[in-house]
Amino acid sequence: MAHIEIRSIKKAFGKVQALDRIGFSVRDKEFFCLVGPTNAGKTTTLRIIAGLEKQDEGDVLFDDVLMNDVHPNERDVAMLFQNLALYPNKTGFENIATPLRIKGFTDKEVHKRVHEVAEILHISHLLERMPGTYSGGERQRVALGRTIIRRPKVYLFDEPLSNLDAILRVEMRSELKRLQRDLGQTMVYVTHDQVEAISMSDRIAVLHKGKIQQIGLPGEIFNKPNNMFTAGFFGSPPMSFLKCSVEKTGDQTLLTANKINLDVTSFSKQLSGYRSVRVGIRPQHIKVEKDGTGGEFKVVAIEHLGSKSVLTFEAGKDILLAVVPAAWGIKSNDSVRVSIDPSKIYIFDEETNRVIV
Amino acid sequence: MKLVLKELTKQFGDLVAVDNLNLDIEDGEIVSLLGPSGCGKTTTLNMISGFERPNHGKVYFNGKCANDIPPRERNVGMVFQEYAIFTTMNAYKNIAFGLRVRKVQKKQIEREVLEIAESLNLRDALYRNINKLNLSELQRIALARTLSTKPSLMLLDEPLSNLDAALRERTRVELKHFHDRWGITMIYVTHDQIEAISLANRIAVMKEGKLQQYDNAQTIYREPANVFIAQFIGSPPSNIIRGEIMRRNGNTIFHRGNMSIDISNFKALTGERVRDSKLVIGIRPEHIAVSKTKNTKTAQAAEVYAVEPLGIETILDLRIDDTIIRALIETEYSAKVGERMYFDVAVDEMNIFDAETERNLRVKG
Repeated sequence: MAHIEIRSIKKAFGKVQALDRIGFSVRDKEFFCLVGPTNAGKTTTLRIIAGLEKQDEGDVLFDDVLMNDVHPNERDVAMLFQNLALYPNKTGFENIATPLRIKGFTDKEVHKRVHEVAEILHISHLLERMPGTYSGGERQRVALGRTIIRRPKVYLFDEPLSNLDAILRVEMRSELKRLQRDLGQTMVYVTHDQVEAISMSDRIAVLHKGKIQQIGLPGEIFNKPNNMFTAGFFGSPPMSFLKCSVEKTGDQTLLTANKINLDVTSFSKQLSGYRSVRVGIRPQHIKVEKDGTGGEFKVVAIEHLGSKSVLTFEAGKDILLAVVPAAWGIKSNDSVRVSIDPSKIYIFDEETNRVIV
Repeated sequence: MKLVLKELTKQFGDLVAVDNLNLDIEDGEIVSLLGPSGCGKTTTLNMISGFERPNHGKVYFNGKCANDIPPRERNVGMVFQEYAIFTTMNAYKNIAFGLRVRKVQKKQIEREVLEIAESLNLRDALYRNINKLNLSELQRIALARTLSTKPSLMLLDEPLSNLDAALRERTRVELKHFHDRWGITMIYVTHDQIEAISLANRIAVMKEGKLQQYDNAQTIYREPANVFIAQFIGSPPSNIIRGEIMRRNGNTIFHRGNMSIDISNFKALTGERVRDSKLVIGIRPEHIAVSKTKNTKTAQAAEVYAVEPLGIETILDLRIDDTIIRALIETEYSAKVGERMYFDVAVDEMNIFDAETERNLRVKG
């Protein structure tokens, strides 16, 4: 049982402002994700929650109790890192049992708890073996076992899946989610992988350059981004941003760029006063046809991903990406027709990068 | 350079790390060695570079056996997961290093460095403080530096693994452009099937030291040679369903419990197999259409067992008795756990595997 409250945290390392007034609250039993690119401040935030790092300003509260001066040992949190350290000279059993041994649990109790955890993580067969014989995924699970055995108030996970190979990562994604639900414990999970954030979290905080960009449900973050950063960070391949000029002819409002005309009359009110904007288009919302009414574009590059293909076009100085179902036949330099559904676009202010529509 | 691996075998004690591997790599090709950890891909790379000696078999460079050539004379450039560059020099000096060692004229060095930097989109990084560059830029400098030594072959061992997800995607595209520009023969080791599919001319899929399939990405994706490959390639990978054959109204039907698919079109493949004989089918998640109502004759009912939203797409796990089928659908049409849904399979895109050998019946040989 724990809810976490982070209030206006500031932290600088030398001249670098790593965190700039970070604030959010994590509800009891919530799977809360801090997501952002490298150097966004995610790990620093996590370390401040754990007490491994001291903030310059701001407060950390667990269940309304101020934690600022509470020693990491006494905060009752468990951390799992990307680089896991197992004791190479101890069996899986002893590795998992370590935190209990330190706390002076009886042999009988240790035995019971380790086997319980091993059951949950499907690692009973690894308990007698040494870490040297484990695969990457097995290591990860044993380390996970050691982290959860103590039943702390809060779990803090720092990119625990980054070092796993691609297939295992996908598998562990749903497993971790299930585990968190079964344990019913509050979790703060740090990742740079937008897919992990979307697929696992109850709520997400997007971090960039030490500032919170947006907090919300995965669906909100994905479908209603506040600004260009969040819009471009979520989705793979990322959203394209085109510089378009706003043109009014009679009742009609158009957004135009090189060979692209988007009728946005329904947004004319929001667009009043703008002469040009940034238009965000998800690659999946671009229709590509051999013939048709769309503008003619040359395929600059094509990348096959198996189930789908990513096409790159140039629109003036901007790059436009489109995702289509596997198109093994299309080659670079082919000409195709490209059309964009105006009801699916996002419009951003060029100056502030904030969303207009 | 044309590279041939013939009957290449490497043992470490009792473990056969690479088992009788045969590969032909054409000049200018980019070939990916793809497989899970421990499949022998890095050991193969080490035998090509000369860091490991095969127990059996030969490595040929342009038709010449290279087994006895020491590593430094093989003229092979290597790039690893951890970027290897001089952190005391800027990007320009790093890239120029190989040229300066070979006493190339200053003017020529400048021209070549700029050309290589251009091909990796590094022009803006050349004179910046190297400690301020991101991991993608550093890894691209390592690539550029390796190319500037004019190797006849480049070996890349998971070069993108240390990058974060967004950078990895971008760098992948830059790497492809780099290869297209210089046309140098490249061997690219990865465990990430997306990297292999998007970058390589041909992919060698390996498992437990053995070559599973060697072909272009399209063929490997659409006609995986066996069940292992079908489950290794694709995200999410192919559904693999183990069931039996039955007859209904003169048609040949594959079924598992209440789930059934008409496979009469595959008669030429299923041939001899009679009623009740076992069969395995593979269906890609994107080849399953889902709807809330039964709007085709062949649609079957299933219960939504799990929903994993990925943003624009969502993975649906559908359950019929004890069979779970994964479908990849657009999030807009998403569903709730426990809901009843109907699904249809794009039968023509399906693969059929022998239940014993697990080999694809659509692939000859």
